[in-house]
Amino acid sequence: MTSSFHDTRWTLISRSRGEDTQAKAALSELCEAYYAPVVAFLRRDGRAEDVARDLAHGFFAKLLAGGTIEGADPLRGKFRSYLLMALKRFAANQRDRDHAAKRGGGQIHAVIDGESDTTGAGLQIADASIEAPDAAFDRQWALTLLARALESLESEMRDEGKLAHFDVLKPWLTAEADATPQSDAAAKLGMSVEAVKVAIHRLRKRFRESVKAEIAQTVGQAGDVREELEALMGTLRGS
Amino acid sequence: MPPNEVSGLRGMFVCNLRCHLPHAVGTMDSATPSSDPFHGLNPADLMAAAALPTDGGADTLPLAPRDLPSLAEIAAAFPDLEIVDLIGHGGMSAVFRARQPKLDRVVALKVLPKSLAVTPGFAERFTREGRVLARLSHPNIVTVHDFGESGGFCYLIMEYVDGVNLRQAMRAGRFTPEQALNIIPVMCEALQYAHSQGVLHRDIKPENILLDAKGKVKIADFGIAKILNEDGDGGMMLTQSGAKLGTAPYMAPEQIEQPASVDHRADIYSLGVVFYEMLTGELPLGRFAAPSEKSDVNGNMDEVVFRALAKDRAMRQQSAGEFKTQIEGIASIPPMARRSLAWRFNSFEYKSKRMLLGMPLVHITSGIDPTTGRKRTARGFFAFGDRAVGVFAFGGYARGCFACGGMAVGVMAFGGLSIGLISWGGLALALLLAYGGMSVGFLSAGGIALGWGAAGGFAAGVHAYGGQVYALVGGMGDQVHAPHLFKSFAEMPVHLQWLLRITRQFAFMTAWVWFPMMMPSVLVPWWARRQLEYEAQGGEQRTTAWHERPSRVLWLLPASLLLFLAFIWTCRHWSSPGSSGVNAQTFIASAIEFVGFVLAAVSLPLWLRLVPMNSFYGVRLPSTFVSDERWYDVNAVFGKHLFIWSLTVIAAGIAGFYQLPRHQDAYSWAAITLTLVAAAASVASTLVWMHRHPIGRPAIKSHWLVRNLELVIPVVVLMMFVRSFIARPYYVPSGNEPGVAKNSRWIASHLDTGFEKGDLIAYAHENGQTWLARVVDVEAKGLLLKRGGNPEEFLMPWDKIIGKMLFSYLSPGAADAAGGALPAADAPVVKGTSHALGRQPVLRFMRVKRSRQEWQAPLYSPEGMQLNDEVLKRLVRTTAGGNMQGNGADDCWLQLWFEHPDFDAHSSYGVEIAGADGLPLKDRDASTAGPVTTLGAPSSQWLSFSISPGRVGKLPAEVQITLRYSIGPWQPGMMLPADYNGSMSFGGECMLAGFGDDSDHHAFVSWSMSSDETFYDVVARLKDGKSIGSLSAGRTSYGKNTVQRVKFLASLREVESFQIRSRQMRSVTFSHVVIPPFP
Repeated sequence: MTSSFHDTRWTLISRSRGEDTQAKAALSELCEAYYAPVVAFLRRDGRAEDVARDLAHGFFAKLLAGGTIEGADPLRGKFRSYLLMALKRFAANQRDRDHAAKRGGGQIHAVIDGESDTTGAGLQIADASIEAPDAAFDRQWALTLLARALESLESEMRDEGKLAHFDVLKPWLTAEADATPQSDAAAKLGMSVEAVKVAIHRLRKRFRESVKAEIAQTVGQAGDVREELEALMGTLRGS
Repeated sequence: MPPNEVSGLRGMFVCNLRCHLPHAVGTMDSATPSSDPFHGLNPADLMAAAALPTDGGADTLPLAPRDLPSLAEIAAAFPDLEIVDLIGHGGMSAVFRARQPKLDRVVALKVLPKSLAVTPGFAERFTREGRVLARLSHPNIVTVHDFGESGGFCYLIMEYVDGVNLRQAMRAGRFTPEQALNIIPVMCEALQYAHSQGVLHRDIKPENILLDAKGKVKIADFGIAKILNEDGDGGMMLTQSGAKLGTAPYMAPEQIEQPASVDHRADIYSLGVVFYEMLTGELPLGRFAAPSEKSDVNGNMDEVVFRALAKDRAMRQQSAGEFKTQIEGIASIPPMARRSLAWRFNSFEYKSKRMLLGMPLVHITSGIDPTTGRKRTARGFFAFGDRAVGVFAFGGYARGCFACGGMAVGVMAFGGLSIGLISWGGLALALLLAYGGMSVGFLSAGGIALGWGAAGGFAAGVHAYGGQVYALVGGMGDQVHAPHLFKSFAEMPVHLQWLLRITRQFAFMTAWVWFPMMMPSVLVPWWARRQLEYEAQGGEQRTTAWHERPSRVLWLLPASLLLFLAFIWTCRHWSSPGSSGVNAQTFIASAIEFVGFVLAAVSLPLWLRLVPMNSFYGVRLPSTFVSDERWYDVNAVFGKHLFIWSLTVIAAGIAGFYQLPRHQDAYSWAAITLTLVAAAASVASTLVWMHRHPIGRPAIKSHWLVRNLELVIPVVVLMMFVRSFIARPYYVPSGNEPGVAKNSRWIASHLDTGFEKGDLIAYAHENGQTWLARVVDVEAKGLLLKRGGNPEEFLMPWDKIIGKMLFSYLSPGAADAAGGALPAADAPVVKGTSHALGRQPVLRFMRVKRSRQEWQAPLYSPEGMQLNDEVLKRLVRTTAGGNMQGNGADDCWLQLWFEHPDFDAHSSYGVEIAGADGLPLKDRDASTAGPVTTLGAPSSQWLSFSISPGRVGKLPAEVQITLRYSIGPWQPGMMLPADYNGSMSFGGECMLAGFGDDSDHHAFVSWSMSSDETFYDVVARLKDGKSIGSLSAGRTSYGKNTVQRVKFLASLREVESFQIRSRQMRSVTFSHVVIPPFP
């Protein structure tokens, strides 16, 4: 699966500048996937849950309506940055309109409680400190991406009939010095310990590929994947 | 954009949004709880894990270096191969998985960069090295199939290994020492092989060590370093991600500093680094910790690793083979004798969970309790320790009901210093009985004995006996200072006599009883320590074989007790020999037994795998040292066989003490033969086992017939020994011995366990046959015997006595004599008659008829009741019945049936009738008919008679019936040779009338009797050896005398002799017998 064989969705979109139907479909798929970060951004921006969701819908609709949101950069670079920029512009425009509508009424201060299930239970990292909307967006982006990668890996393995492998071996995706001995896993799967080691290695490899594939869909150039990966890693570390 | 198109898209988008979003919940109305998409893992870690490079794994996505060729390029360059995919790359090469269609196999294609290929001199180096590599053929080295240049690429075609490399495996999970020790020696072998071919690896690192799914190890990239390097360059190869600075940590110092002079010892260094990393997970950088500190590998392994990592290569192991031997040498200290943990348990405590009477069942301690700083005390039902308190206490200081130890206090105390109710020991103080070097107590015996009753070398007390005696009341001995001097044993007071008797009898045994006392004190703490260690290593959770559990050592206790008892038994024979005293026989038997002890003591530890592997004690064949597991298995098999055979040798030795003089000479040789056969059988069985369980291959399963074929000869020898010297079966075809049935089989013992009157003995007759006789008396020179047919007693000397009959088995039942068949002269079988002889016959039923009538049903009981039993009816129908005809038409006849289980062919004598008042009846026919031949099952014998009670119309209502009969075993009487002339009287009341041939050429014998207390019978012994019984030929009474005549179905010519036999005549009277009505 080398990059030269498939166009990523983003390259598709950027090449056609959103004009043809294929690109549009690709765009809508991407938007579907990354709905959560947009909502997170909007919430951090000081809106209540349902207001944020409404706005997110409006934002995507506008995006898909064609062309770009006024002021956003032409389609270049990464989808994430593009989306963020577009979102910022959109939010700024929206606020102007809100203020205009309310004639200087106060904003609704959304309480940041970090426990909203509309953005997906578990997608949230409980965060005590208030953070900037940009950071929230990035972090939510990273989480969404990871979740998608895991899910696609799981469904791949389910299709191959290796769901048991996935279930038993998934703790080793992160753990290096394992708490549970591999002999247990070996017994559960009916394999030898050496075969378990091989299987773990292969699972990790596939997971990495899955993550990178996910990232690759949102970047234009092959070399950007690494950079993007590291950037996302940084956001999750919280630095 | 046309609006509808947009809206269409938008609609589609919105719909999608609402329905299909996997994680961001679609509906705004209700919150759908979604399951954890991260499966419990930390997202930050996941991302970090995703960011790791895989170092040789496929970072396929856009991490390609400039030079990395694409699949298409490679496929073009190698038209003969089908390129499947890229499986890895290093800094300088890429490895693809490919298929050789011609050979239909999967191979690994390693491609070197084009830039290298054009380097001057590279091609020659490549070719040269390639040839060297292609020669390396070893199961643990990745084989090079082909190499060359194609399409501008230099390539190597290698064996494809479906697995991971060591780096990946280490990341997948930490290696246990066992796993590491499975891999490193294999690699040492491969390295040794390569070095012997003159090939160095120079780049040993975990990435170059491949493990397949079956755990097989393969070293890859041998010598590649040499191909790729310039002449002086150390080859700092950077991996793609730059995460690690190449292979520098694995390189020996001289490889970095003076690369030109590198030799094979650099590989050893690298291997040492890999080994260390496998064990500890870290690289040995700077001042690094010893492997045993960071993992639970054996502490002695540290030295080996340090040596391999020595900076100075002269200090390292000088060859990979040496490295391997050292590793295996340490590793071979098996878990059973591992020292690294054991000696940490110098101070330990083992308390069993089970409780008995409120205290732990077993409590074993040793050393000092660190919390209190004092010595530990064992408290439990069974307590072992430096200080032990319990019901059974063993220890340095022991207290309890039964205390054994250095200082023992208790109800029964054994020990150096023993205090108690009964004590035994060096210094024994007791309330009741003290026995020891110095003993003080109510009754004391010993070297120095003080007490109420004292016996010993120096004895002082109220009553005393011994060497130097000081008594208050009375004493006896060598030097007695007492008011009263006992002259004899019997004069002494009872308690002193008792004391002397038991000490004399048990002195020797009690002197040795310390041995079985000591064994638990030594073995149990040893076991407790091992058991704690075993549990600490989690042994309890795994299923382990019995020979890996520490508790196997406790088998030594019953084994040593058994051997001790055998030893005591032997000593008794020395201390109190039998009638023949201590003779050569005693020596030989003791020697055999001693050899048995030695064999048992030597073999049992081997069987229990208590002996650490060594090259001296145990089976010393070279093939047993291949691996320690093999050594233990082979020695366990050998130990098992030898131990079992040693028990037979000990038993044979004990049997030697009990040999009859007849067997003594043969015994010595036989016992020695048995010992040698036992040893040989153990060896043979071990060799057969080794053949059937080859190393590394599955065991050969042989057919059950073949399985223990090697035991056939030894077991046959053993059976012969047993048969000759211990016990054997005998078959008795004939005989006249009371209590011995014909054709019976007996088991006889050949041991001299004492003879008593009445024992059945087999002895050697002068004609060579084995005869039976019974013991009348035991004499010094032999046994006084008596045979059944002969009243004479005779002395049989000892050397003719073969053995004593113990019991019979498979005896034939009592012969059933069918009506009319030749009565056999069988000796009556004891069984069945012993209880029946006490019973009297029963008058079962009867019927009446007139003269000239037929006998008809029904049958009546003696009380007059009608019987309708079908069985009886059938019984009666089968009898002849007889047509009794008297003289008169008015005569009536009464048919009687008597039953007794022991009726036989000669039982009946006659029946008489009398009136109810006992007076004889008048008016009746005086004939009697009967008995009808006995019928029915052998166990239910019937006699039937017909007698007249009177005439029609004048029948009495009740009568008295008297039956005369004889039953039971016969007493043998005189024997008459067939040519006897003259008369003879036997029994005092009988006179032989004569014998001869009658008109039918049947031999007959007749005699007259004057009393009818004894019933006589004759058995004819024929010249051909057979015996036949008699048929009654008539009995006539002349007044008081009765002449009886019997005949035989043989003529007098055929008869050798006549044997008279007799038995007691009995009679039984039935009164108030009701005459039944006419039918």
